[in-house]
Amino acid sequence: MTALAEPVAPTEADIAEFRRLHQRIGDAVEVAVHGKRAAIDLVLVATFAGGHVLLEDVPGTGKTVLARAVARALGGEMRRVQFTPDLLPSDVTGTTVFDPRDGQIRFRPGPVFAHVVLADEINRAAAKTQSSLLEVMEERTVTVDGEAHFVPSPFIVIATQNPVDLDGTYRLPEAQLDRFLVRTSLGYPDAEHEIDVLRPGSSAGHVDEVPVATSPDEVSRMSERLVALHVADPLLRYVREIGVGIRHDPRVRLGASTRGLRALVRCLQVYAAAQGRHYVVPSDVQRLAEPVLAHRTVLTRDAQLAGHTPNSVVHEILETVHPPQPDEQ
Amino acid sequence: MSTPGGPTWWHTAWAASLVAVGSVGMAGAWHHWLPVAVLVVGAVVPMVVLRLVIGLGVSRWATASVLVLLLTLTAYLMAAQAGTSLRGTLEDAIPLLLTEPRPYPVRADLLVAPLMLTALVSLFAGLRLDGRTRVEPVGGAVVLYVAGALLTTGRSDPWGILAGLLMVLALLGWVLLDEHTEPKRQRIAVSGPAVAVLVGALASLALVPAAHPFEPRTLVDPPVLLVEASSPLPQLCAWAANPDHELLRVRGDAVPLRLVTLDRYDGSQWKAATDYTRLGSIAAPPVAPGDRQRTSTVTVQFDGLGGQWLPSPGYPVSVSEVDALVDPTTGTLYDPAATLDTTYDVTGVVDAPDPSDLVSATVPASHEAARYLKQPDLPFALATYARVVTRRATSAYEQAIDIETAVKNGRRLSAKAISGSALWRIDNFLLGGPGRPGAQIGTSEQFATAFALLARFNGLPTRIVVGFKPGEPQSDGPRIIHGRDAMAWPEVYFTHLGWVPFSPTPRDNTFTRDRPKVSHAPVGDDQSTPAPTTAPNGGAAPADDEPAPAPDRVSAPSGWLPWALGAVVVLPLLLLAAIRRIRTLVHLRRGPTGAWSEVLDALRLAGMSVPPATTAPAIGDHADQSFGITVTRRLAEGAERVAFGPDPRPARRGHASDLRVVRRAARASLPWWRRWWWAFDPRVLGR
Repeated sequence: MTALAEPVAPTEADIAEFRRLHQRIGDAVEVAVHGKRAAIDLVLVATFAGGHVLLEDVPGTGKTVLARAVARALGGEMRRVQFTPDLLPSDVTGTTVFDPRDGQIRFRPGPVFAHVVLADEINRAAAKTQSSLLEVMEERTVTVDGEAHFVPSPFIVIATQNPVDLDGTYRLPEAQLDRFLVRTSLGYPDAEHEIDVLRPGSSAGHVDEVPVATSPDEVSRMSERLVALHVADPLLRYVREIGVGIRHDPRVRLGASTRGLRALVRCLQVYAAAQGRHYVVPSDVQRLAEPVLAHRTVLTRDAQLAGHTPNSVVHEILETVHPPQPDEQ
Repeated sequence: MSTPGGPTWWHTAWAASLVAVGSVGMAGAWHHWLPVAVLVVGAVVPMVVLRLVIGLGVSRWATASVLVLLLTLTAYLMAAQAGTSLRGTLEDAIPLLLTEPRPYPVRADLLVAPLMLTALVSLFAGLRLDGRTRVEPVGGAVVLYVAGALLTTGRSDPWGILAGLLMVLALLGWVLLDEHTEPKRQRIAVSGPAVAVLVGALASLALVPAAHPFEPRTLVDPPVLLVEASSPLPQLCAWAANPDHELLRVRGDAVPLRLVTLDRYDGSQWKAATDYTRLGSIAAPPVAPGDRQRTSTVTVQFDGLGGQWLPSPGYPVSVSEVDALVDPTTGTLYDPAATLDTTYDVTGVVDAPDPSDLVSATVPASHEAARYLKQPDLPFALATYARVVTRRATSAYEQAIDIETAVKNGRRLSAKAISGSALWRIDNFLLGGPGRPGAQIGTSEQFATAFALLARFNGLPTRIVVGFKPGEPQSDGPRIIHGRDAMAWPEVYFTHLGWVPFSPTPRDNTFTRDRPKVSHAPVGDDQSTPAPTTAPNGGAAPADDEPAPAPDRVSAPSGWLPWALGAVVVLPLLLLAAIRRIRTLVHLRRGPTGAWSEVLDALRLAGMSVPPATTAPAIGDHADQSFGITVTRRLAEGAERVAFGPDPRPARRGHASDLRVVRRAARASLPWWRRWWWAFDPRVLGR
């Protein structure tokens, strides 16, 4: 039995370097997306945690611009797929074609073979097309004719979804939402930033002006270093108590799985490092629990009819679970 | 009553008599002959005129309509005479009658509604005399009688004479006027015993005391005048400093006069009443008066007193000043039109219980007399003192006597003492040692307030009164009240006995005569201090401004008792302080996380509540914002680094100095009088 190599905890210098990198990428994205630093940070947390992001909001709030700006700032290859009802799985993953010049059958990669894939309006495609993308998100490979094709690393899918005008759409299966590490929304900007966006000559929405702030290799390297960032046992217990609280809530039909809680811990590591800390604190958990756990929480029909939402349930659980205090350790 | 034939003049006279007797009850609300005459005329004339005109062959309803119009015209003229509209007078009739001071003054607007009711009842009874039965006159008379009883709370017919008369008249009609086939002898045989039994029953009912008669005035709020006036307590110093200054000239009963009664204490001062209404608007004060009362009448002439308050010998019953208002709760009289030479007659009642009833007297339950028990929490030492001085008392009256003795003995009355009734002043006055300003020396303000605070702490409903001794009789008649006669005294309320005054001020025996002896010596006065008896205590106290003996707190000369009492107080304090100190040292040894524990302790002591789901930095932000400092969040972050980071060593030193800043700010947020308790407060032990 071979023992796994003990991961090396990031040093304070690593943390400082990551914080600078995170800051740099965030600043770059803000060139095109004004007044949404919290959402940008959240997307970057998911990126460095190796997960995928679901942006859910009404049209015109900057979802696509954000996804494109992040892709550009990360410096890798970016592909965009506009999901429509007639989109086929092979249009997403790729297909084999016969090359008459040499008589060979070759694999033509689909748009998922990129570092950043923007899946625009993912709920407009048929279920089997959605499933093909979700499978790639989980497996990070495309298997065609028995041959596995690996997607590049880092690989991040930023999907957008419009919660209104649902006629002719195919809702993402609740269980499949678990494939997304983070679900968040942008919302409308505040008055100051909205006026800034409206001002003639504003750089808002100009993705071409977003500078490239890093490279895919650097993202992968930093991401691997943060895997060993310290998370104290009281924090792990706190995360579990929140998960158990959600599962046992009578309004909840399906709560966050162990995979979901593990995803939260992974996000906590990245978030803490982004704050310049080499350890996680309870307020990190309170900040990330909602975007990471809410979309993994399925409510009962009665709770939905009563006006409860997964976000409100997670929020209430956070208000009832006692966070660990420093003097209790 | 069956009526085979038409009504005769005997019937009309009978019905008119019934209605007139019923209306006399209403007229009892005026202590004047004119309303009686008006209402009797209103009861008789409409019916007689109606029957007269009907007898001439005119339509009954036409006659009644014309009479109603005439009645309305009369009412209109009466309202106009009073300067009001008829509609307004009738709409406001009930509130007006239920808020006007009793007895009612003879005014047209007050008479309109009773007169119209009487006349309408009279017309209705006259119309129904042609009916098959003739119960309407009886019913109408009962309606008028009940209306009179409601207006006067039954005082218009205290012995049931009018009710008996109504019954006799009704039975006479049944026996003599009712046309029937039975022999009259048979009806007389029935009615005789019936009259005897009914009158006897009425007389018996009249003798039954009604503890809580229905008072319709409680359903209507009388018009209230808000008066913001400060309490006259501080003036006691000025009056005492000018002992020969003439304040009042009084004729009549030689009784103490009450200027202002104070029952609201907020920890810094006694507050004078603010809601005044006309005398007689409200029936009774909030607590029932004693079973025995004494009525006194005096004529008071201002001679230098000034101000708007009118001294009274008790709860005012009548006052000759037409503009005088009264605080219905305390009976304090206020005259916005008072001048420097105001002269007035006033009659007041005070509770005068039998001295023999005092020993076994009880006080009402706390919720019934909550107004007279309400006060801020006493400082710990003062509360302990309040408990100790009454520990031997076995009854409420003994408690009051013990408090009176404890407050009076060993302390000095001086016109030059620092004034004020605030808690800190009373704390200094009762418990202060040599060198502390105002310790063991005060005016009657401090003596009375000290008594009231200790009494309220022990559950005795207490208020204080600012007033005057009866004054010196002069050869030419009036008694002169000087500045030296001004004083404050406390009163304690006992169930069924009412308010009983006490004399905690040295050299004052105004209220100590005729007192019963208590069965034990007051606490700490086993040998040196005489027990409160009927003898005045003046000789026991030092003269004004003479050096006073050192205060003996609970005044126990025997050697071990002060030490024992001191130990009872001091040892628990020392124990608490030691536990708290050990807890702090243990915390500080743990470094930043222990410092955070100390921060949480400090927040708890400062009364800051922390929601359960709050993280340490959020608590720190809240504390920084509340205290105006910036270090609490830094302490929180340092503690989190040690608690949740991989390296238990703190990143920086300095948490001890930060902790001092937080502690100092949290302690400064408390009122000054609570800060001394900081080092002993055991609440943090349960955190």
